[in-house]
Amino acid sequence: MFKGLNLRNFCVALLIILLSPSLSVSAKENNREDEGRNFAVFSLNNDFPELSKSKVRMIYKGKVKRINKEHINLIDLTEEDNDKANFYQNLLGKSLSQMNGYRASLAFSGKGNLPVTISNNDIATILDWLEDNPNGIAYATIKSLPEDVNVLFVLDPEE
Amino acid sequence: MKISRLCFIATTLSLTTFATNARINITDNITISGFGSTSITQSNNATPLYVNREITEDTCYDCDTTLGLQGDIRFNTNFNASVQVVKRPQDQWSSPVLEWAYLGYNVADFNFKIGRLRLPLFLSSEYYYVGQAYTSARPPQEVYNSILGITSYDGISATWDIEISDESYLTLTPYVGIDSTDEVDIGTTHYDFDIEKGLGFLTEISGFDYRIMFNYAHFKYAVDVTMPGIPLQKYPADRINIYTLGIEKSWEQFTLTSEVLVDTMHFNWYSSLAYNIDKFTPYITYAESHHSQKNNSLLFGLRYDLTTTVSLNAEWKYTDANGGDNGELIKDPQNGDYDAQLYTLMVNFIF
Repeated sequence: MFKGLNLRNFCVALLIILLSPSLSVSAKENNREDEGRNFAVFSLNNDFPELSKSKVRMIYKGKVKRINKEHINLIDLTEEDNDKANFYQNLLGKSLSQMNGYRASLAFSGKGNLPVTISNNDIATILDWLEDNPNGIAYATIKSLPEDVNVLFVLDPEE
Repeated sequence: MKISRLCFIATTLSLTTFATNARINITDNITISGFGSTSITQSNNATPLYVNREITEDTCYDCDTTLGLQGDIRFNTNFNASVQVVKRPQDQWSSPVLEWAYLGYNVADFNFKIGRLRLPLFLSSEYYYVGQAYTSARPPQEVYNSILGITSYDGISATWDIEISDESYLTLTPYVGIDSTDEVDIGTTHYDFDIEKGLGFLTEISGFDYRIMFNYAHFKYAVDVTMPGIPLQKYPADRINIYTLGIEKSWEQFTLTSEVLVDTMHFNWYSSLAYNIDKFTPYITYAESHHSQKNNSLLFGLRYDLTTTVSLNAEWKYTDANGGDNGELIKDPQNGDYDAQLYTLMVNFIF
């Protein structure tokens, strides 16, 4: 049945992939350290209403593109810490790998509302971007937020 | 062989290096992005496997090689244009094809497109050549290859997004195609398709963790067949109705995907289950083809996301033509072997 094919070479290649160093670094371990960190979805646009979890999920899946008939712009964090991974895991139950694959499908099908990735995760940078984008929506840990932003949704990881 | 191996290495190195850069924003409203895949693959059957890829028992370094470039221009909040040029697996580097080129207009919950558009028959149709966007190395060929790699049409489409609730959306897309042509080579046989007209209706219901799509398409077409040593054969115009149903559902790390295609020549389906563990996604796919190409297959694979823009696939597939038809083999096997095992190592990237 196997006709002496290069099964051995195939298995060796598979092993190389499986034993690559990144396997030993489990993101789940890192995620546990950040459990309990609550995220808020927010904007500087005070006309935006409070949003349900379902609505926020559809926004970050790229399905909802407008709020109050206004086209919205989304910003995404970098992967420099675990905030982005935790946010998507808690909101959508997806790993960053899954999100990246999904967003590639949106980008190359001309569908969806893709977020812009910010240059760094500093809250000041996020606020600067929001000031430049009146219909912008961002997410960050609650403890990092100033008081004068319009909090649209609070993501409770225990929900 | 040496040339194709060198091409594979050069392609892999240059493209993955290129892929480390994000999409290029020429201005705020003009972006250039791209995608590609290349593989090392080998079957244990001398008869070529898969239309448009033709994988044999000789190790192949360019059977899957794909490179696409996409340019997007947003004129204002309502108007946009997009162009996608792709070197598909069956194309030479010197002759890529224009996969789409359209003008789009958005107003309220409606989106209109005119130009060359992607034929929306399957769940992954609109990103068929973007390996980074789906879990397996290739979309299940029993379903996706049943239309011989014809992936676009010239015409117009209208999409209406309807918010059913906070949790679910309904999308309705009627589309109409005008006269267009396409070519397919299967071994030494060349097919010239003249698609005189086409129309279809796509319906999709989606939520944050599921998609259900149904598509009906009708085409009137004629085909000319050219074979070596045989005069050109012209077949009279014929009509075909194609029905497709696709379902994708996630439960935390599990994702189940199933699709079925039914037309006068096919009843083909597959089911695939994937389980994501951080950067690793093992998956299994079972597929069957009936009517004109009886076949069944089983596939085990592993995807590894190397970076946010680069992924690797390792796959083993067993395909069996059930001893009657050629199945996924492109012609009658000379050696009488109707089954094949297929090994694939693939790299996918986007930028």
